[in-house]
Amino acid sequence: MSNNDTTVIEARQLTKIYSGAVPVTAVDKVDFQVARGEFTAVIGPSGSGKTTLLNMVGGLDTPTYGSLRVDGRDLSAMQPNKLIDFRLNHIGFVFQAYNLIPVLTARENVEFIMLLQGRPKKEREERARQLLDAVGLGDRLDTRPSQLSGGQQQRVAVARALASRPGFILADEPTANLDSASAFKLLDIMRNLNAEENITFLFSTHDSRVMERAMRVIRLEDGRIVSDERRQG
Amino acid sequence: MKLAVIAWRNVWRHPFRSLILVSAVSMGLWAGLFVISFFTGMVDQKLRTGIEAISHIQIHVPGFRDDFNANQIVPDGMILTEELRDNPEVKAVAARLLARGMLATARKSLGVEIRGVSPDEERAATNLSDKVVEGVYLDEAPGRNPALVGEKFARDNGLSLGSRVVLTFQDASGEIASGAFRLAGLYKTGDARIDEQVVFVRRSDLQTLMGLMGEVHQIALVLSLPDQVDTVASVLRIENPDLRVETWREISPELNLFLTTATQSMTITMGIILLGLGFGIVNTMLMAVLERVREIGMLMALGMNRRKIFTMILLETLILVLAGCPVGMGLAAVTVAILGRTGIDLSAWAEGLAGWGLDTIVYPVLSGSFYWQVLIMVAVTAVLSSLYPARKALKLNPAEAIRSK
Repeated sequence: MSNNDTTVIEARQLTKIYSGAVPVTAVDKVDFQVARGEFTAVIGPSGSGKTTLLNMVGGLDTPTYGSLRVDGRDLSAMQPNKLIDFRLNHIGFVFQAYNLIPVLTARENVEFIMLLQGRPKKEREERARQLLDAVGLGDRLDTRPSQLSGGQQQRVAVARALASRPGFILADEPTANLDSASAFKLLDIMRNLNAEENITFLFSTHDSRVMERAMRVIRLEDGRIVSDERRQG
Repeated sequence: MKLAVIAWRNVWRHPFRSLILVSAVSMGLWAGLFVISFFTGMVDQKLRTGIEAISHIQIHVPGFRDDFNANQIVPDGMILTEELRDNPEVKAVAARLLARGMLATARKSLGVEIRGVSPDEERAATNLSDKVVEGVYLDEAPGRNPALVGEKFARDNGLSLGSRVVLTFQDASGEIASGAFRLAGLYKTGDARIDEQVVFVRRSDLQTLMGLMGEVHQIALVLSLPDQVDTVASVLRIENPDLRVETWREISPELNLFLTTATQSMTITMGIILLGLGFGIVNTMLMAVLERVREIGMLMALGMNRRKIFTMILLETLILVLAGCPVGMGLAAVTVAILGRTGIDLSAWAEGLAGWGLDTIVYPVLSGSFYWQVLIMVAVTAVLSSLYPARKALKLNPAEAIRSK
């Protein structure tokens, strides 16, 4: 795939070495690109470098070597403060353990990102309502996370990730804590958003249910890409 | 939904823990403000008594306070007194003739300071007439040469109303002069050094006996605005270069020392309270940050910048602390209002207190502005105390924090 407008993520020789008494190479000279609208799973055994790779792509960690362009920007050279703004405006995050703000309702959790972006109140409220409707939680707007099931919380997290209109959504083991029914429902929602609204998803997973639905599967072992498989939808 | 709303809700995530800190702030402020109001009441009373005895400013000829020589009179003292009476910054003027001498009773002689005063001037300047606890004031006394002595002085020396005493002192020509006086009244100022040592007589009587008609040794000024003492004194020094113009701080260094010491004690007390408050805040907020490591990491990952994280923690701290302030200050205001009216009876320590020139009843007092000052100090303490927990939060690595348990 060439580096053009459709490329959302482009990594070249991306390397992360954790220094210490014994330096550990978590990601080793990885080259890959993700195009807009892809639904990509990064898989591999524990310690294969999935999380480190996603952290670098998400601007939460910096590469030791190599270049990383995300949504047209070079993250490897970006200052920490710029990275925070970049994350806010270009990347949607879905974490493994729901990670909603417990003192806010579902609607407020979705609005929160837009509040950080300085969006007007009316726009925040309307978009939060639309997004929660889209993930099937239009009737739970004013419910706090503690009163939602794990699957519902993860759907709020997806709505929140979409709220900032990011270039792509990064999901770290999004179904790891969900039962099968909730996992399938979440995957359906994510897949629909991908198919209907061309939203790019990149997620790490151990979950075979997720791998089955992925349009592209990148397998990592010992920090290196050992396979990169594309499937027909 | 603003950061303040999130901070408010975060505070009440653990209502019991938050209420403990709010209660600690309330109780600490209540106790602290009460202790300070007690000190302030004591200091005010001591200053009032001391300044009533000294006045704000005294004028003598140079050297008089060291020598007490009868001839060291203020030139044209009565004219200067009248001029000062017209000064708008001067509330009252008392011109006095002073002498050190002996008071002789039928049985013994005692060293005393004799103050020849104008009854009206002294009433205005020192409220001496109100301090007569037995008998009558100088202008109500029948007969010639009335005198007032301290109640304790009279009791210790077997004197009573109507007792005849002879006062002996040096006159203008350097000769020993004496006069017979009758005790018209007994006074009590609360200042042991006055009550046990000073005899008040009419200025005109003492002028006659000393041969100093129309002359005075001392002009005491009470100002309308006590905090203008230094300014007024400076002007008087320029206008009267041959006279010694001294403020109460210069005349009574011990009173100044008392005021300084009391102020330092109050500052230390307030400092201890604020320090305790600070440790309490650090402890609570550190706990609040450490138990929300994953959440704060998530907020950072989502794009909440450091300034907003800091603001959120600062707001949580301010909400917790300032929530306790109205209760603590309200309780203190009520306590001070009640005890300020009834007073706190310390008569069990009467003798010790009298030695310090302190009354046995202390009336706690606090100015309205002090409550605001305390509120600001508490807010500043809250801000400073939130820095360490906030720093902990800001140093989190979001990637690691999100994965923490």
